[in-house]
Amino acid sequence: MKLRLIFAFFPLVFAVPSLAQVDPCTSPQPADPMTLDDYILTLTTTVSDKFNAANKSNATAATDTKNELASRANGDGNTNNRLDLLKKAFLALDLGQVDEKDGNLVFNFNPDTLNSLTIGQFSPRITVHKAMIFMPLEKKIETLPESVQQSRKDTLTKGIGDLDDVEASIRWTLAFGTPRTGLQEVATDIFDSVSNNNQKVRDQLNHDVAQGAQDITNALGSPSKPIMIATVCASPATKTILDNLTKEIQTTGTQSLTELKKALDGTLFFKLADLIDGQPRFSANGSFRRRNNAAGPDERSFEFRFDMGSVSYWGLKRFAASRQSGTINPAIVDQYFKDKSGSAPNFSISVDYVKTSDFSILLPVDATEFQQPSSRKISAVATGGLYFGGGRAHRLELKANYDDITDDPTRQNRFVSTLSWVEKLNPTLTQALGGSDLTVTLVYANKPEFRGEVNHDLGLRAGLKWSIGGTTTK
Amino acid sequence: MAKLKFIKKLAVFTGGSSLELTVTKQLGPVATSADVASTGTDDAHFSDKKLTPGPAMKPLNPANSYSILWQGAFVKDGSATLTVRVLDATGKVLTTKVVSVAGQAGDVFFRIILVP
Repeated sequence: MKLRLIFAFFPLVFAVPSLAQVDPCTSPQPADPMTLDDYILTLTTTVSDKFNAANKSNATAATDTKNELASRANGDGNTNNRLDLLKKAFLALDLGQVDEKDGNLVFNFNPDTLNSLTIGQFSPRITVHKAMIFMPLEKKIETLPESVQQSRKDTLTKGIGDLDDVEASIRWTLAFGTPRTGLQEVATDIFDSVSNNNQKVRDQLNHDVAQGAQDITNALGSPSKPIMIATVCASPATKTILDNLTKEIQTTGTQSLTELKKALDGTLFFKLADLIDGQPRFSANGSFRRRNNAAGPDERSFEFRFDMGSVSYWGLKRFAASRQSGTINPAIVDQYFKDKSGSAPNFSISVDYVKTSDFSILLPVDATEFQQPSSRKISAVATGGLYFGGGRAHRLELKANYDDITDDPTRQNRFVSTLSWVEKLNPTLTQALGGSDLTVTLVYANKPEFRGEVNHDLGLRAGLKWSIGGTTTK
Repeated sequence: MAKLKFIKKLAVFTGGSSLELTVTKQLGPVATSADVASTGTDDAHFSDKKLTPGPAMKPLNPANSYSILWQGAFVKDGSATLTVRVLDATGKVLTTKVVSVAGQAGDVFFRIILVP
């Protein structure tokens, strides 16, 4: 109920001024008049956000800048539904980021105050799932006569609201050591060398903006400061300068970002993230999923996880200590990555608990009751990997899985472990066999019925499987 | 530090104002740099080392217009804040502008700030 109230109040906070227009002279003027300074700053924000969105493989319409969305929320006055309003309000209030995936809306909060090196990082999130008929219920309907199936589904679907499947979750991560602080200096060193060497395009842009602002000031005589966009737009001469500046910031700004990104990609700058991600770390994720009407039962889940990567900040520190006097610099980071290129990919262990409430609903028309009792699921997974023989051609992967799920005999007290040998094939074999990896897997299960199909029997509970996988393009 | 004192003394001597840039960061790592473009010939470049903890300073010529191009990149999610202050010859703060950027791992950005 509280969750619904929070969402219900979001649409009430729309008195947020619009900020970003590509052409401030033709767009509807915001309630709060914009200055020339703010316009240029906001335009550079938009160009940067669009550049980053375009560079992300999962970029969607939701990655439009918050300013643009806020502008539309304020400007058009028309919204499709409550979810649209929520999204715009969330972004306009700068509460965090919104992602759209498979029809679900994910609101990621950014509470900087909840982040601490000692107690860890907390990441609250609310996911508004695309509400649809609960799958087992849909399957039950499909057992009814075909002539009534669709009408039953339609009636149930109509009863489901867009906020009938909402999940609130919080993730906690605690990494050991202080890799961010330790690696900041390396990041600074790399960035400074790159920014010193890639100045031409951005210097041009920066000078053009300084000159453009000066030209606008000169053309307006002695304008009162700050210069308002409305004043600039009122004169054809200054409007032309502004239009040219806008184009320049959009094109040369994007070019400058492309050059910066490319230059940094050629260094270890972004790879430093591997050292942070590879630090031994604990994480826990708790969630409560509330579903109403035909969307299904409520669900609570908790996951606990431990991860460790093949490269880490701690590993780097040990490496640096063995090579020099413990100094970490870009050269040592480079050597470390080269030295660790043949080590284990990662190790992880996780335990997952899910409790699903009981669920009952009357089917429309014939009033038959659909019932599903409560259930619980416990599962644990451990994975690890190891390259051997030098290089990355030969790999061993270990995976152990334990499941215990109420009312599911195929997954009660089930333990299955696999040990895989993965061999990278040469181009000729890849072409001939239609895959770049040969995988041979040894399977062991605690009961014969859990072992599954194998290519070669090694007893009731064990067997060997082999397959060709990967891509053929390389 | 000695250079900073010299710039302040120079500003008093010339009767001009000076520009002060400071960058603060959260999470990351995140690195930034700032270029000051002038309509005259007194451009300046400030590296991440100079901006953080800062302040990085330069004298301003009242005959010129200036813009600051601040750029940066995020190794991991985080945020960076640039504080721009214009001081008069006595060290009194004339204007302050604060620009914050929140980014995700792999993001790059730039912002252009006109110096008032």
